[in-house]
Amino acid sequence: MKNKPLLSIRQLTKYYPASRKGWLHKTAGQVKAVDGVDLDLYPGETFGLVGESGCGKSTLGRCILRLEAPTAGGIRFKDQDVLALEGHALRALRQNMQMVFQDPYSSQNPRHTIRHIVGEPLKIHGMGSNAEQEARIQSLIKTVGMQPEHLDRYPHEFSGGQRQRICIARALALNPQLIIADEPVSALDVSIQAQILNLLVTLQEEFQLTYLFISHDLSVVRHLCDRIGVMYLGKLVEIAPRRELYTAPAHPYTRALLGAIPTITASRRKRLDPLPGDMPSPLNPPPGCPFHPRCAFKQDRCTREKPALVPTSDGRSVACHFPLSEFSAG
Amino acid sequence: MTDEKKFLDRHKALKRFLKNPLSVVGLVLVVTITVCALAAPVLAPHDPAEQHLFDKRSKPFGKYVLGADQFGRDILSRLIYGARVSLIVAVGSIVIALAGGILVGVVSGYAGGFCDSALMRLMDLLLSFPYLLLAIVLVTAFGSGVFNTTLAIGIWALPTFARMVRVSVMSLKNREFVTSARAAGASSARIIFSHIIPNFVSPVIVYATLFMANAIMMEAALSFLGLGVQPPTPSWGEMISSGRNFLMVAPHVSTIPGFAIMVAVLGFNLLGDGLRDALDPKMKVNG
Repeated sequence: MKNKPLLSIRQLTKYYPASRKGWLHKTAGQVKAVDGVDLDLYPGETFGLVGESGCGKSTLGRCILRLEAPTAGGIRFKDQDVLALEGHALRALRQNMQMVFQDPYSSQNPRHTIRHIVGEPLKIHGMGSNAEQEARIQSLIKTVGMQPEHLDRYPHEFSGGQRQRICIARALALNPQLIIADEPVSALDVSIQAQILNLLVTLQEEFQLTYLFISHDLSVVRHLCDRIGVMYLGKLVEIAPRRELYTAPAHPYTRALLGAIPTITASRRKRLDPLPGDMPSPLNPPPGCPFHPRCAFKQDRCTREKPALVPTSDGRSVACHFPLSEFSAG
Repeated sequence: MTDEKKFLDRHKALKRFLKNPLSVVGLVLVVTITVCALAAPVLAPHDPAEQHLFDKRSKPFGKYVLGADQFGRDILSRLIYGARVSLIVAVGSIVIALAGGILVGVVSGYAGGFCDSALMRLMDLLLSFPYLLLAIVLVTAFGSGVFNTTLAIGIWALPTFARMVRVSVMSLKNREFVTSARAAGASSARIIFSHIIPNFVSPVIVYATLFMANAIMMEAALSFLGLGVQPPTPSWGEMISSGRNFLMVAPHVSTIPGFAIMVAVLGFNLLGDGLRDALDPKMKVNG
């Protein structure tokens, strides 16, 4: 693909011990939240990470920022080994990667003014004099479409959409290259979602940002992303450019997800059967392909053998023994 | 959302506080006691230690407004000076308990793991003593006197504050705004001082005010038992104690300081309740 990846993730794994904690209890097992994920992010692109609740997509985002310590695997940001950084170097890294959180109501300290919230990253990293910081705060708040007079107010005085704009201003404060947006619009009204998404697009052009956009909403992802990765039970099952993914999903799970998008005109898309059953417990994932218990196309091989994420033609990768394009043309 | 609401209401908190007559009564009582303590030399009509042997156990509303005790010392003056001891001990012990409790609670709640277990077992140990016994043991160990009484009461109150703070810290540290601060590169010190402490401080302050009443009673109890402040320093507990031999002949010697303790405890309780209602919108529903 085009040039060097900005962020590359290799075999990233995050297991949570599932145990009754204490000295006397041994760990009962492990929740495999993220289970061997490989992913490359290229400068300037928007990568969408989709999947059901609990599939590990947020955990992946938090591992990249070192908010969680991964169990195994590697993360490289440009030429740095993210997982080896400590103290000062880790802090310097965080200048380049910022996060926008899902819930704009809980991601802001209720006791701080907007000025404090937006300016905190500048203070932490000691960027410029007080006057320079103030100028930067003023320009940031305008960039996200708010007024400088909002700066002296408190978060509770704003709506969800405005608060998410404030979060974005804060994330932009350090001029990061990568922004991890963890479900940034799922807590907002649909009418506000479009505004925030458009703001993200504008900002990307203005500041050459790379986005890792985590969402469970395929229509939102479609609006924004260049490439999309589908996660299931801690694993990436398909990575494809947007157009290919939406027109011809290769993994049965992707197809089922697309089929679950509600449409106004029911005839527009062929009705697919809803996915049977629930996602298996990540504590005890099924052997073979993690998706086989719910898959309509499962064969014997799927119950025995784990499919690897292999690149196919036209720059997509699928983790399936029998990708859909091969044996089901429709 | 409650946190935002709490903050919104903070601006109106003073107004709400002043609207509640009981809180105002509490505030007036506490302010009166404080003024007495601060201006004791000006307000007291006599030297509290001066003995007027001809006026032993004289009745109130005679030569002395509140009468005199068994050595002929003016009870009003001793009461006013006694407020000093009560307040010093109450404030001092709360400061010790708050400082220690916040330190232990924050370290324990923020660090978690073994550190948390170790500190909390230590607090459990302190809590498992009957409170008076603990204070007696501490005073016996350190010796009596204003400072040691304060220390003993402070240590006695410390575990309660530590637990309260720990629980708040444990819930706050998982809030998204703390994660957001960490993602921005904030150090643990910054997170604790800028994000965690300001968000739990108001309920702790309310509880501390309510606790002042307990501290005053505790000081009186210790002084009554002769373990607290030593004569001739006037203290309300010691005054009750010294009058108990003449309870039949001169009840005012014991009952007047008893009444003062009651008023002080009432004042701090009303003030604390008022602060709680004013700061916590959830309590306001039927108020």
